[in-house]
Amino acid sequence: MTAPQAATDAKASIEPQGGRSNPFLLMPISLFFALLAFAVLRSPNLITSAGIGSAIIVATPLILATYALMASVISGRGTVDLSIGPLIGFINVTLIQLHGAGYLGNPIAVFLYAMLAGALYQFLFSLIVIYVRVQPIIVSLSGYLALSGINLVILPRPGGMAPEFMAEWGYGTSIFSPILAILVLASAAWLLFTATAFYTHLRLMGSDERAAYTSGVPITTVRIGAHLISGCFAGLASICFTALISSGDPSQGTTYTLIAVTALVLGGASLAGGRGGVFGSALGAVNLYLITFCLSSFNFGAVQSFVTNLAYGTILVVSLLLTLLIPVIQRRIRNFSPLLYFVVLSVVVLGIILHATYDYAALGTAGLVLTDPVQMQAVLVGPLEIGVVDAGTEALRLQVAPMVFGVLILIVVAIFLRLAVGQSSRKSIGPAVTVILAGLVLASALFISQEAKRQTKDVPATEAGN
Amino acid sequence: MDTLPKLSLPARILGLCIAIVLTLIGAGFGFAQGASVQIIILSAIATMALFTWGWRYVLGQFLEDGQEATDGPTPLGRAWLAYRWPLLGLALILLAFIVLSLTVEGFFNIWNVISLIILLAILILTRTLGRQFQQNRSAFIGIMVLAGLFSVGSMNIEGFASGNNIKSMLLFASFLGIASIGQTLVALLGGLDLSIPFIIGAANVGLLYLMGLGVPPWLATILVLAIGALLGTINGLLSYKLQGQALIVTLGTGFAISGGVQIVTSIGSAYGGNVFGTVPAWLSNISAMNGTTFGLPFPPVILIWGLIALILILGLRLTVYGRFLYALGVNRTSASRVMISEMRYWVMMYTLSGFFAALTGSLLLGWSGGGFIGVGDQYLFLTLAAVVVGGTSLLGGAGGYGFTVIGVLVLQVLSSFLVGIGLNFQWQQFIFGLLILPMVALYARSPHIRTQI
Amino acid sequence: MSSSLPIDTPTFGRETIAVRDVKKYFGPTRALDGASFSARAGEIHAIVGGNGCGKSTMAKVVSGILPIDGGSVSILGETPSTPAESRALGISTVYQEVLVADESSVVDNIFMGSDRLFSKTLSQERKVARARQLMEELSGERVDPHALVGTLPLSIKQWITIARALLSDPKILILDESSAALDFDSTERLFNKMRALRDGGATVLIVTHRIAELIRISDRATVLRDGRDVGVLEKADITERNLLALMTGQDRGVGHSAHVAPHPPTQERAIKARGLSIWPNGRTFDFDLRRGEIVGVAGLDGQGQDAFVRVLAGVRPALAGLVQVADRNGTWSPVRNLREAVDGKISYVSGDRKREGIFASLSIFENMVMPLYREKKRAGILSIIDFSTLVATFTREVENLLIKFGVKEDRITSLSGGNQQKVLIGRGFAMRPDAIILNDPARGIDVGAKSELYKHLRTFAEEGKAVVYLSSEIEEFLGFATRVIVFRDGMPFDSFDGRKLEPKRVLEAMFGQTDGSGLATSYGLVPKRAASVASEAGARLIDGVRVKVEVPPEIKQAMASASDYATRQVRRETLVTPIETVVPLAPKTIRIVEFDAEGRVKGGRRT
Repeated sequence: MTAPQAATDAKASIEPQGGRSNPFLLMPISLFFALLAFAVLRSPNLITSAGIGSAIIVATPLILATYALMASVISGRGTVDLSIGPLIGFINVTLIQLHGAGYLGNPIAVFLYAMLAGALYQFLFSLIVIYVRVQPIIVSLSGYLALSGINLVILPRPGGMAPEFMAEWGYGTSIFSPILAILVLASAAWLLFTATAFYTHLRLMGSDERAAYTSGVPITTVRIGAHLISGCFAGLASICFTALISSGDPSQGTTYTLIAVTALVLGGASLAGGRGGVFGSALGAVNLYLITFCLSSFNFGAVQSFVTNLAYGTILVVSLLLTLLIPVIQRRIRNFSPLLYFVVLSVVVLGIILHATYDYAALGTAGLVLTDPVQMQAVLVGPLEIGVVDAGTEALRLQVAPMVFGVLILIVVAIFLRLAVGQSSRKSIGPAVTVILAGLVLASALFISQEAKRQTKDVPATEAGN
Repeated sequence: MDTLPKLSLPARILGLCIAIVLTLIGAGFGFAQGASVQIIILSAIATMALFTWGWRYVLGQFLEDGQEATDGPTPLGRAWLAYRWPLLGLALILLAFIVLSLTVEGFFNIWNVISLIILLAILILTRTLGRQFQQNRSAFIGIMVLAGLFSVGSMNIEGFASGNNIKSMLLFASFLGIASIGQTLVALLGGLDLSIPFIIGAANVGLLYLMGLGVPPWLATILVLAIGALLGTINGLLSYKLQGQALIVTLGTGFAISGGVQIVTSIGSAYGGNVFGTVPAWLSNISAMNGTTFGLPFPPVILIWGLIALILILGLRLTVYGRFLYALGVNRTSASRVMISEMRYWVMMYTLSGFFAALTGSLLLGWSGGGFIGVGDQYLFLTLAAVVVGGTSLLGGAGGYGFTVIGVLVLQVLSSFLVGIGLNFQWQQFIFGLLILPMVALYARSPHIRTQI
Repeated sequence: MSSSLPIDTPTFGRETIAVRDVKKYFGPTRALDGASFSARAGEIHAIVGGNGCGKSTMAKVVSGILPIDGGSVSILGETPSTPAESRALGISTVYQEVLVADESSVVDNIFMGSDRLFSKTLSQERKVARARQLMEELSGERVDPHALVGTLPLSIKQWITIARALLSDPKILILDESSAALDFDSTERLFNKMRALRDGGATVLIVTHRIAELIRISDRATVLRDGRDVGVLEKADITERNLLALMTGQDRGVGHSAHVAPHPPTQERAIKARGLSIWPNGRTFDFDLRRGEIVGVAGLDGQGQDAFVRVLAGVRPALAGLVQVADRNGTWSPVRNLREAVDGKISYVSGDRKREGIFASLSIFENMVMPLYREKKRAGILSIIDFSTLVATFTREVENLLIKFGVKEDRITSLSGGNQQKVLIGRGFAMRPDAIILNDPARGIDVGAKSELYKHLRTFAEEGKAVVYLSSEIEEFLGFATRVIVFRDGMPFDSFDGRKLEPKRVLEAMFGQTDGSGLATSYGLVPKRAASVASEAGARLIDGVRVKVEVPPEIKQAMASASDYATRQVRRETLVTPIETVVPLAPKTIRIVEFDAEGRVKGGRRT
């Protein structure tokens, strides 16, 4: 019987059993950079203080709604909380009406109210799921209908005034706004939360509730906790939403639910439970925002909202279908490092952003606008690049080309190193590679920008964008 | 449960028969004397309820002599245990009534008191009689609720029981009924189809658009129905591939469909999203209130619905397709051992769902006379509520279209009633949303985790 | 291997588990019907019994998962009612199913439930170190503690559940068939661990039906039968004979062993299989089934016999080779899927009635005649079911099998388990097959119903039909099977003549203690070719199906890790795995951890 012996030897020589690879972030990262590059090419003023500021204002409610959904989705049993949109709407309209009635002038009171209302609703939700044992999706559907109905009762048509202190939140003129603070704090809170044992319990329960139960995880408490967290995030999302529109709107429910679910799926979370992360979800939501942004850079006129609906629906279905591919990818890539992938792509996109910023600034032309309401031809052959390249840009490109080439070589070297080291001892050198790469990127970016500045001394009317 | 005297089956059937005969005699007298319809219905229900209860009670007295009380809690305690929830329900209803009477001016009148008594009677009746219908209890409860709502409505609301109102209720019930066909079939498999409202809206707009392009109306209708079926097929394939996520998938496809159709209809049009055109007379006749069927004064859509319902109910019961559908819904592994192709049925049912959604959209065009993408929006929850209220399990394999018909009627009467007492669409949506939960809890509770290990 | 001598175990005497007259009902089924037993500190106590005797239910009751309907349970003086409470008491349980969270890492899975609600009991680094050390110690392989459990093979998953139980030095360790997914070496490591615990004064409770393992390891054994305890054996008395006597009770063999096993009148074959392979790295073999014989198939759990009968019935595809069925004229047609099997008049009855048998909310009648709907229909495309013909069929089968029921429209769940199973067997017969393949059909049937079934099958065989009968109880074959084939490591290991059947020999064969000479005899796999041995590994027929299916990662890894050249070849040639296991994204709440495919494959991965 030498076969077992040989097998053991073979096993000892190769790496230990199991793969850590988590290829679920592959798609959101790729999509993010593809969209970002496209968006920047279409409309370079995305990468300006105002552009980023307004992007944050618009995207934050989406991101927070996605977080809220994520908390309950991770808890398993297929808890895709369809009522998240109407819940945000509910808090929004009640906030507006209560404010109109003279309550809730104080920011602290507003925040407390929004988060408490969300948490209370989710608490009820979790009690029904746990004790009545109805499928969560049905509970959420029921909540969706009931809340959409009551929202219209509370506020029949969009209107009302947001509390005064929110008034200038929604302008989005600079990157640093209270909304950004909320977003950062909420993300940080979630990251902190992931460090607790509670989060581990939550993931284990979502992945296999029976295993968690038999191991002594207090599943009832954990499930209630997950819903409470979801409710708090829904409250925050609602505040950001209120700040965005500065009024009440009872009919946003459907869209928000759809967006949050799509963002979550795009972000690589499993709707069956147990998998999901703040990075992926935020990327998913940002991706959706970028899709809207890219679509709005083509002027579809009256059908703009239809195109958006079509895009959302299609992307949701396609990304669901793509999740079927994940097991295949998982088998191919044993140790996929999302961080490294992110860094690599960000270098590439940085190049594109630089190109767009400086070249377009040099050209001094604005983004192409379709003047007709709908021109299918224009949509189909819509140019990826706007404007034509002039001599100055050509020269700049010639100068930058070695840089780009050098960066590419560096990336190749880095990937090679990463693979080689990974094969030899499996000691992760991801952080080291990241630091080196980041340094290189920064250095080259600095160099390029100085080159560009020197260059643009000849060509007037630069720095308009920045 | 043992506090209620157990009657033998023949005794129960006999009691029921006598009750029905008595009720019929009473109703006959009522008509003969020219009493109003409301009074007749009221007295008929009262007669039936009282007699059935009395029959049970009196016979039970004789039976109880033979049995000795077993050990355990006192009879009162056991009665409390067995009838906890109905008693609590009764108390709640009484409390609500008292509170309403005290707070709302003019609430305490004779009609409301009678309504309350009818409500209580129905509650008791469903509780006591409902046990005899082990298999089809939901249908029984549905019918009782229907009768109760109808009688209360006809007493309290002017013109509720008038021919015109009944006709309009049936008309709307037909639209809802046809839209719910797909939802029922898909629910029998254990799936859900949320794209129905979007397909309804898309068909509604698309049909008018096609006719506006100059396509002959009959051809346009066929085209729209075919496209609806095709979209349903796509839904079916996608949902089958993505097992367990049918709900999200159909929501996604629904949005894509409605967006896509709006884009297509908007191209070259100055009014984004709105389509104008003329609806042919025959289509209007089919589904308008003043339509006639072979000269009779009711719109043909009611007849169409009735026929489809009949075919579906019989088909689900008697044909191979119907039975295999149930088999798949109950246990798909077992079904695969009997060589039932899961994929084929899954796709077939979603195709039918798409087809009937498109049909509803086309019929609604005849009713409204103008295309509107949002016309199907309310069917998102109405179809689901009809299926659930009727008693079809969303886990698959139990229920049927007959149940859904009852659910549709209950919803329609309830909605009519709510409108009658002055609640608008939003309130209805709120109430229906809340209604789904207890109904699902009745038929489709998941097992406790302890039993799953 | 330090303390493999169990004699000088100190009998601490303190009773740690005391179960008195416990009753547990599942609807009409009485899983436990007044069972009692007690276990002491410092002993390895076995709970043993045949299938459906309630031993798993007992394990769940003791570990606090199932609330009891009567009697009393006292564990360390308390009565835990949830797993969390048992854990706090120092009770660890490893369940029959491999319960792991696929989306989480190995560390998290091992430390599942050990943390408090918000704070961790150990820092992450120490957890990782402990997990790495524990997994290496237990599984004998290095396992990356950060690896996602979903990417690991089943045997490692099984080790994770065991590691989880061993983590907190339990006072009571309950193992419910926990070695199912482990190979021989691993089982030995597990036993050493159990002995160490025992010597430390803990109570180890094992629930098993593997008699050989039990004899080796346990200090005392309680035997359950039909939900009751029927005897306690001390270490010296734990022998196969005693155990079997208690497990099967007084009626053992009586009733049908007096019968003579049917002997086929002809050499005409009903089914033949050539170059069959059912495991990825299994050797190929041939098999013939003659008309009029009853072939018993046996083997320890997960040794491939289950896959074999499924392949014969077309329920799952063969990895290599081809099964063919003969019609009445003697023309052969292939059986590659269920449809071809049904066309070839083979019917299949599963013993796992809950999962792949009954339609819970449909009537008894429909459950029986469902497969006949397709042929018994009228009105062409309308497919209206011809109920009158079907009622006749139904009545016939009901009378043949003596099924007791109220009205035929009653739901099948209103019947007892045995009667439900009879309905399913009736479904098999209702299709009027030439060959019927039964996969452990007697699971959970009482003795009376069993002998009725044997009688019925014997009559069936005398009509010139063929029967393949898989059973996990050897005694079932006595006086019933023409020949018995024992499976081991995914292929036939030995074969026995039904007329001179000795359960002891069969059992020995199941544990690999015989020489396997029976395969080449007249009652071997291919009765006609008595002299020639089953075909060699190299001589593989290539005329089989080539189905390209996604291979689950576990199998892929198992194949990649094996250094055997032949394995590599198999992998390159045929990447076939049962389709039923590749259904992704099943709804979580009703997920069933599948044992058959991967489980069986993992269990024997020893090359």
